[in-house]
Amino acid sequence: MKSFCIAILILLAHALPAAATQRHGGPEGLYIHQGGHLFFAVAMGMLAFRLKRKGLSGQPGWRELRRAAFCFIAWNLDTVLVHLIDDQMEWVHVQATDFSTYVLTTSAAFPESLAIIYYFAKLDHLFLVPAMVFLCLGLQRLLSASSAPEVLS
Amino acid sequence: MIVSALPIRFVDLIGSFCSIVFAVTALRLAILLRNRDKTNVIGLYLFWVALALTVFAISRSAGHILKQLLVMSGGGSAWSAIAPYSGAINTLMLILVGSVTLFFDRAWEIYRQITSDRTALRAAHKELSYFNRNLEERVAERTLALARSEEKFRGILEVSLDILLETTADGTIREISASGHSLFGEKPSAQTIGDRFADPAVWEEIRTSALAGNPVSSMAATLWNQQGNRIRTLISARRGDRDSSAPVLHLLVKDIENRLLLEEQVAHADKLSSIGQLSAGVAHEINNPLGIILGYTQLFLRHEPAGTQQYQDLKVIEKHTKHCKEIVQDLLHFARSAEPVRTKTDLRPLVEEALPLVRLESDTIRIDTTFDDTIPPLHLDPGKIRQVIVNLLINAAQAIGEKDGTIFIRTETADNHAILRIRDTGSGIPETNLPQVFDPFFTTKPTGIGTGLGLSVSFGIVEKHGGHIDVTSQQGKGSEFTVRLPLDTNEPHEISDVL
Repeated sequence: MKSFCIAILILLAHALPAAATQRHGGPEGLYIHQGGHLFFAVAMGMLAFRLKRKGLSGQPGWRELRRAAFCFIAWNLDTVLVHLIDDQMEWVHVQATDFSTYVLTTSAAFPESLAIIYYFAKLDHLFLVPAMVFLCLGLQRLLSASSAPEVLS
Repeated sequence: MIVSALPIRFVDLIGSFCSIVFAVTALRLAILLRNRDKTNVIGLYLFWVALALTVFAISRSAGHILKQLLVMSGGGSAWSAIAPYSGAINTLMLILVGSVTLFFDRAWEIYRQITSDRTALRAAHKELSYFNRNLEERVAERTLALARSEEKFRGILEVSLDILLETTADGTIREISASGHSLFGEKPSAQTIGDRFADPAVWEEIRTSALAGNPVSSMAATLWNQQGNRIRTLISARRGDRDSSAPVLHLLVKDIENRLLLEEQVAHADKLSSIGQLSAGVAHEINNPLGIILGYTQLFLRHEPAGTQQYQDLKVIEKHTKHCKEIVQDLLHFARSAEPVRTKTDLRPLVEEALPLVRLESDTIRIDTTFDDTIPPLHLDPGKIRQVIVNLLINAAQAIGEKDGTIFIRTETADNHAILRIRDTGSGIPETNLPQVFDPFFTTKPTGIGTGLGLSVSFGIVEKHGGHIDVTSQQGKGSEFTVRLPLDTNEPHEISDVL
C-alpha cells in the first residue's frame, strides 16, 4: 500500500499538460450518422427476431409490423451504402450540371457499375415508404382487433 | 457517367411527403390504440415507437423537401448552411427510434405479467362474486346439514340404552346421555361417577388407565343407582381430549343387571327342571311299593285287635308310610308336567279362603290385606293357586314364629299381570340362601316341620300358569314373595265387559 501511494505521487509529479476538451473536427458527424443508421437497423432486427420468438409473427398486426421492421432494415442498409459511397469514401463523385442532370464519376479503383448501383441506391424512399405503410397497416389491424379481449396477446 | 437527376429528385420529394403522411397516420393510429386501453403497456410502447418515427420522418423528410425546393430555386448555398443541423437532428432521431424499439422485450414481459395478473384477478373476482352471491345460501345449507347431523347423533344417544358420559379427570360428570338418568337421577351434572362405584378401587383403576392413554374395554363393575340398588355393569373408558391441560374421560356404561338376572333365572329353571325329572322318576318308582306296603299294613290292622303291641307297630308303619306317600305326592306335584285345569277365578276369594289356616298356625300374627278389586277374573287352576297361597302364608307365619308380627297381603296389577305380594316381618332369609329357596328339599326349618318341597311345588305351579314367583328378603326384617300371574285380556268375558 505504501509503495502504491509513492508510485501515484511520482506520476502526479511528472504529469504533462492536457487539453480540457477534445476537438471534434473532421468526419465525426458522418461516422455517428452511419452508426445511427446501423443502430436503427440492429434495433429493428431485434424487434423482428423477438416477434418471431414470441410467436407473434403470424398474427394480424404483428405480422405487418415485422414486415415494416424488415423494410426499415433494408432502408438503413441502403442509406449506409449511399453515405459510404459518396460522403465517406468518395468512391463516386456526384456533380449536378443542372436541375435534371447528374454527372457520376467513379474513382479509378472501381468500375463504372458502382455508379449505377449508387444511382439506384439513392432511391431509398422505395424502402422507407413501404416501411411506413406496413407500420400503418399493422397499427390499423391491432386497433381493429383491440375491440376483442386480449387483442395484443 | 451522365444520368438523369429527375427520378432521384422525384422519388425524394414524393417519398419524403409520403413518409410524413404515413408517419403522422401511424402516430394517430397509435394514439387511438393507446387510448383504447391506457393501462396496456404494449399500446404505450407502440405509441412511443410511432412518435419517434414521426419525429424522425418529419425532420428528415422536411429537410429533404427543403433541400429540393432550395436547389430548384437556386438557393443551394442556403441548404449548405442548413444541412449540418438537419443531419444532426436526423441522427438523433435515428438513435431515438432505435432505442425505443429495443424496449419491446421488456414491454412485452410487463404486458404478459399484467395480463396474467389481470386474468388471475378476474378469476378471483368472479369466484369472490359467486361466493358473495351464494354465501347466505351456502351458510344455510351447511347449517342445515350440521343440524341434521347433530340431530342424528343426538337421536342415537337418546335411544341408546347404554349410558354415555363425559367427565373431568376426577370423574365429575359434564355430559351424559338420557339413559343416564336411571343411574344418576334427573340432575346428573356435577355428580362424581366415582361415588357410584361399590368398589372405589375399580373406578380408580379405570380412571388411571384411561388417563394414561390406555383405553379400558368392558371392565365389570358394580354401581349404586339413584334408588340405592346395586346394578352390575360393564364399563369402557378412554381419554377423550387432545389438550393435555384439561383432560376429559369418555365412558360407556352398559347395564347388564337385567341380563344377568335373566341368565340366573334361566339357569335356576334348568336346574329345577333337571331335579324335577329326577324326582319324578324316583317318586314313580317308590310310589307303587309304598302303596303296596300301606295296603298290606292296613290289611293286617283290620285283623289285629286294637291295643296289642303288634297293632301299635302296624300303626307306626302306617303313619310313616303315609308320610312317605305325602312326600312322594309333593314330588310328583312338583315334577309332573300335567297342565293345570283352568277356570275363570277371582284372586281375592282364593286368598281369603287361605287366611284361616294362618290363624290356626298362630294367634299372635296380624294380617293386613289390601285388595285391588279392579283385577278381573283370572284364567287359572283355583286348587293349585290356593295351594301356592297356603304355602306362602304358612311360610310367612313360620318365619314370624311365636313372636308378634304382621303378614301384609296386597294385590295389584302391573304390566298386564295380576300381582300378589305376601310380606312378613319375620326373621328373613340369609342372602346366601336366597338363590336356593325354590330348590326341592331345601329348608332351614327344623327336622319334621318342613320337607323343603312347598316353595318348589309353588314355583312349579306358578310357572305352569305362565307366571313367575320371586323373593326379596332382608335378614332380621322379613321377606316378601311376589307372585305374578298373567291377565288374559283376550278372554271373551273381557270383551263383553267392555261392551
